[in-house]
Amino acid sequence: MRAIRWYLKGLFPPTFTISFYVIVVVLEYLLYYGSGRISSVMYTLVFFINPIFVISGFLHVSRSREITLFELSMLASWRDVALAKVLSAFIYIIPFAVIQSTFILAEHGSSQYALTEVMFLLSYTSLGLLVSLIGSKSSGLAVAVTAFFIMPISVQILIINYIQYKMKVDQFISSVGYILNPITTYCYHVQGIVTLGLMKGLIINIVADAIFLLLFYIAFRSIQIKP
Amino acid sequence: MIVEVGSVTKILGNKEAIKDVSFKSEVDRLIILGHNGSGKTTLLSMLIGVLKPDKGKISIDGINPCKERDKILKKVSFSFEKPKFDINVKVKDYYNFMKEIADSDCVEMFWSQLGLSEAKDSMLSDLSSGQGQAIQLMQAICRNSEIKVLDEPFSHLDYVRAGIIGEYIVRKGLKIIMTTHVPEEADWLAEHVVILKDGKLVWSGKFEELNQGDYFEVMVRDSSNLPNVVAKVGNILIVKSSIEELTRLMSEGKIMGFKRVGVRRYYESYKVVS
Repeated sequence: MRAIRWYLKGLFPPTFTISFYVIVVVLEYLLYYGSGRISSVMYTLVFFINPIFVISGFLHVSRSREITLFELSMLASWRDVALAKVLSAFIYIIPFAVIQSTFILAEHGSSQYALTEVMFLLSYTSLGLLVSLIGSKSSGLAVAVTAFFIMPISVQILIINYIQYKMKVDQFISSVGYILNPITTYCYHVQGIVTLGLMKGLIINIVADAIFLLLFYIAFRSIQIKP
Repeated sequence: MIVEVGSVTKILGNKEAIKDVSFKSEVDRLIILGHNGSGKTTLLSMLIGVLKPDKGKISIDGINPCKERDKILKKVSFSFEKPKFDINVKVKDYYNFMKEIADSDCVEMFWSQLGLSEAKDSMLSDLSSGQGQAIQLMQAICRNSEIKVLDEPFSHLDYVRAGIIGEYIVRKGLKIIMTTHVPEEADWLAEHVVILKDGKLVWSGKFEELNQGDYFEVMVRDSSNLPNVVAKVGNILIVKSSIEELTRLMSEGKIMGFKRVGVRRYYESYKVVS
């Protein structure tokens, strides 16, 4: 499909991609072998590396109104442009998800943590696509930066509040946790604070992502664009 | 190409950008002419279905662009004036992509004659406004589509490059819907003219209708002693006269030149000179 081929152009800018991957791998190596704990790596991923990575992918699919019009004309299909945005966003996260999962599996030996990392990337990529519908690229970026850094922290703070009041985290908040911060939510599940298990969390995460993507697709196809 | 616009109104913010505009055109080259802020781009956006009218109906060859958005995209390709690229693509990659999906002669014209090949290693985001507009126009004009919808296509191009594209449009007999604020472009390309001012329709009709009557555009350096002037914009006057009279005035050096009136008859003065 020509729209996908178009969206693959510039998807992995060499300078950014190489330097980002090198920094991440070195950082995670130092964190893990410095502290001997996988949690140091996981928290760095949740609150620092993952948001930066997802925002860099967001910058690729979020395009100005002028460019959206240019692409609609060139590619001649609302549907194809929408699908190309979705597919290119997921193609962007695949190598990162593979590297991260492999690292977590190799060092921690737990496929569950690797899975939560993939869930995190899926959720925020889907949300990023929705945010990309905001009129201008700069305001979309402002929303994305704010949301992608704040939402994982908010989940953490919320669960800590539950702990302070010696309460178990209910199903609804657990579900929100598995969507917005699956890594931390699973960590608290292991500690017995979050009741909802990983498999149920995974299903909820996938359903939520599917809804986000469907909303994006419908909204993009009916959006009005003022040049 | 049949373009029908029936009582269309569009409100953007608190302003009526288009006010109850109606016209029907059955030609291959439709030009929408108007000053800045007259509603040209808004009307064009509704014609291709990226904006929906608040009132009224629009159709191109029987297709309602707002309801059949994918269908209209197959039929029309378009470009808008602002040539601003924020994507990470090189000119040569864009050129190679276009070669696969568009008319190759047309792509080559843009590549060689319009000078895009000279910027082949540049990123689209680094191009000048003229080169950016050429990139926009390449996809709009060369992509396989029946109708080319062009918003101020020559606004950032020098007259030589604008001439090459205009000539290509005429030579190939392309069907176009084009906006401009430049009367000369409308006079050159229009078969049907729609003139807008402040979102309202000033005049709509076939270009030949503008030529009827003894009205001329006269270029002067000093307009003081010229009879029957009905409108004046800068150094161009619209006068009711005859070819003989104007030839005499030119030989006496009182006027610089003249031509039969075109879109200026309604565009510049907004007076109906019947």
